[in-house]
Amino acid sequence: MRDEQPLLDLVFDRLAADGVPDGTAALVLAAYAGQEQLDAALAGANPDLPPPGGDAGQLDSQLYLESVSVAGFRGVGPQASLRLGACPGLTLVVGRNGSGKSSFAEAAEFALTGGSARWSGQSLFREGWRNLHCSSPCQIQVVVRADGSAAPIRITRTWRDADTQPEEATGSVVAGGKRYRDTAELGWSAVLETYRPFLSASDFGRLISAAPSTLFDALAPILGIGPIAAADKRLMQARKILDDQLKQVKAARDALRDQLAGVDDDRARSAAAILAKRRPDLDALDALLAGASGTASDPVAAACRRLADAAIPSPQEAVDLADALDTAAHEAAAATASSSHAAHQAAQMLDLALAYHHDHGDGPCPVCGTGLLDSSWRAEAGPTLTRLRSAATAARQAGQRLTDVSSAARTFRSRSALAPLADLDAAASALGRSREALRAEKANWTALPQDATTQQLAGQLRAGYPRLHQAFVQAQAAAADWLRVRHDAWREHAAALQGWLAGARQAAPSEAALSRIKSAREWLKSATDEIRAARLAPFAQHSQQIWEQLRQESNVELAGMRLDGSSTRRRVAFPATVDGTATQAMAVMSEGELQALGLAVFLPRACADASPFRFLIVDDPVHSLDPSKVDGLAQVLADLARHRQVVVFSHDDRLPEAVRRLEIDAIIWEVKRREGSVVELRKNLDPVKRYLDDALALARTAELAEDVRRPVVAGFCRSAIEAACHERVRRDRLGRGESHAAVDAVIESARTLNQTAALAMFGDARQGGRVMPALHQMGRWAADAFAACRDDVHGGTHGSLESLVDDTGRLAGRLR
Amino acid sequence: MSPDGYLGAADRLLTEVVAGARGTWPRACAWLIRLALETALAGFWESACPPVAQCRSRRAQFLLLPRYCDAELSHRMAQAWAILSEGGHHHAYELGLTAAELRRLRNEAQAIITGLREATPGHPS
Repeated sequence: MRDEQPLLDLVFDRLAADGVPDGTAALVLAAYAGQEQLDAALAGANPDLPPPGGDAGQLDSQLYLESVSVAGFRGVGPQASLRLGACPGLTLVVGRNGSGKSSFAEAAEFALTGGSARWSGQSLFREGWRNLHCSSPCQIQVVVRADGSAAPIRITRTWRDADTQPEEATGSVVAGGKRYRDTAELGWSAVLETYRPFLSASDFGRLISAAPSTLFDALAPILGIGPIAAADKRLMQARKILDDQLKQVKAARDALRDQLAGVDDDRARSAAAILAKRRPDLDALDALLAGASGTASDPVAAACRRLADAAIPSPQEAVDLADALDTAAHEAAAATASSSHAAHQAAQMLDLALAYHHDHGDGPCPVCGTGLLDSSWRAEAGPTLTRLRSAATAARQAGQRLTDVSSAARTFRSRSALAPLADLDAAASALGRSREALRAEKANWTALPQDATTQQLAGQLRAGYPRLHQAFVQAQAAAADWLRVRHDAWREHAAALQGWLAGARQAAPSEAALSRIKSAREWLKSATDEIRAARLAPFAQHSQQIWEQLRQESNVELAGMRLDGSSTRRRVAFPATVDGTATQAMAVMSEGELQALGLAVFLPRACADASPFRFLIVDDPVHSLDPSKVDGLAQVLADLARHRQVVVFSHDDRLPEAVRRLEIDAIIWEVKRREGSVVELRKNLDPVKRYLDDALALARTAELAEDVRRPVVAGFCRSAIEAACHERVRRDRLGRGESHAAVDAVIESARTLNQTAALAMFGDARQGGRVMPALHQMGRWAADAFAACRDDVHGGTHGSLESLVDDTGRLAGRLR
Repeated sequence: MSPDGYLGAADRLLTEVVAGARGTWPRACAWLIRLALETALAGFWESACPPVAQCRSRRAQFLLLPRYCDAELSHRMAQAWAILSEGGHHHAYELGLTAAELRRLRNEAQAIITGLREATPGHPS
């Protein structure tokens, strides 16, 4: 029904036109589509987005009121019905205070909505809902007709005698051959709320001067941008969740930093440094926790670990080495004592002598000159040489062994003194006193001069090494202790950091999502503002127009209407000028002006194009209006009534008087109440009667020449007959389910009075030939009156004008 | 007096403080504007259909008017006249017309009178 572009299409087009990045656009659309889709989009999935052009359908029938029947309800006792004809036009229902007219307005509202604005929160009304005089049967029934549908919709609410609350009514709605419990089941609730075709004077002032958000909420739905607002709300919620998550991560980070600040540990300092960054390097933290760079970064820990891991020779080894040293020294000394050098020289000499004997044979000894070198000497010399040679070798070997063992002892000394002990200073903080002891031993150990004797060396190995070893073992234990304490202290923080890291990793994508949500909302806000302004424009213009008519001479000039802000700061702004000075309208208006403003604001809402309700019930709109505003209101209502069924309830005569005076087409019902709540409705004015009144007034103006009056009187009579025929045609055809547009077209097509009458009498404008015979059957008076109306506009016929008006009235009564 | 004469008198009441008219000037003003309209209407009927001009029934004159001139104009004429008649009388529960209302009515009357003049048979237009 909305001829505007469907909302979703609009959103698509604007997203494209504004060049919104894909990620943001997808988020906007997902939020528009629903919570599931938004969740999916935020999770990075591709949500199912609604295809463009798929707006939710509205109620697409056009609904008119046919009748309101009331029995035993409020001021009405025995059943009374207000027939409204289910077509556009203005109907006034007039009655004194307490005549029961408002009972009809309330009944219509109650039947359709199940409540009444007047009742809400007012116990006085709640107690008096049942008629005092005639409380049973108690029933209200509203017959609504959808344009173009033959079967009316009957909405009934019935109370049993035992019911004490209005809400206890049994509802029944019969529509399209089906039965429902109430209008909510027909799906009318939302549109009834949005367009609310029931207006009551007391509401206007209240709503207009209520909290700004109340008025905003009352008006915002007509713009049909609810889905956008809902999308924004979803985004806002999603944002809050992510925001909370990130805040939690940040709060946990701050808490961890505080804890780590008190930990004397290089890893804690590293972790604190990582956490101090605005965007902590999670991978670095991960590596830190994994220990990849754990000890290397802390020289103390590294030294301790090396110390703890180091293996130095056992004291037994040192003792063995000392023993070996002693043995070697002893042997070497023994070898020296047996003058191995002389043996060596003797062996050499003997060797040369043997070679001499071999070359020269037996002869005297060339060395002593007294001995004889012969075969017996030779036999003795062989073993002697062997003995001498082995003695020399043994002596040499003993010296060599001593050299070897001494060298091993020296190596042992430096080996046990150097490597692990180098870390002592680095690990000073961890080792404490054990370091001092170890240092002292180490000093002793290294104090032995380079040229110390084997005896000294062996002595140190035997006595000094066990002490050094013990000091070292103690230092190792201290280092291991320190490492264990450090590990335990760290483990707790490491666990906390690990937990935080997991949360932070999980929340990491949230940050990106959050910024996407932020930009989506930003775009949505500007788009909402623009779409809202565009959609509000026709309403604001209509309001402006109504205000112009209503304000008459009020010096408050409205300059449009705006819906400002959102969420808690939403409001409706009415910029205005008073005698040219800008202000806010509400501040400067009198009660009557506020009421007029209320009408100006709410009449367009009730008459929105998108509303399925083509009827509008206005209760007591003239309450506190100035006389000139009443005239303006009559004009406004007449304008609306061209396309709407406007039913106005009024307790005083000013509005009907203005309607009569301003010659506005309207039907006026007068409500009278006898004793005992017997309510009667009497038609006081309708178009037929108005034409006849005018005709009669002119017919009676005897002082004017008849030939001047006659064509005009006949013209009025003709209009009266036409009006009666139209009424009949509308009733018949609308009742058969033809649409208003179709009926209007048929009426329009009947050009002559004959055709119009044929349309009314036979349902066919082409049956004009049957009209006169049928009228003759009715009586000669009927045929004559019809002929006079038909022809007199163009030429003269005889007969009294008053009797013509009289007969026309009778004829119109038969025709309608 | 001519229609313009009556309107001029009404203008004076609207813009000046006229001695002796204190408190009564809104009604007097309404009467003057109404008289301007009626004089213009009488002038119109003298040319368009003299018998109607003689007729004392104002309603008959208004009822006949759409037959002799534009329907819209006659509607405006009847409306303005009706409002001025109301305003010219004292009503028990209603206040009189305000200055601003009177000014609007005066301008409306001016427009109607001009329209009637142009619709008068034999008017050079």
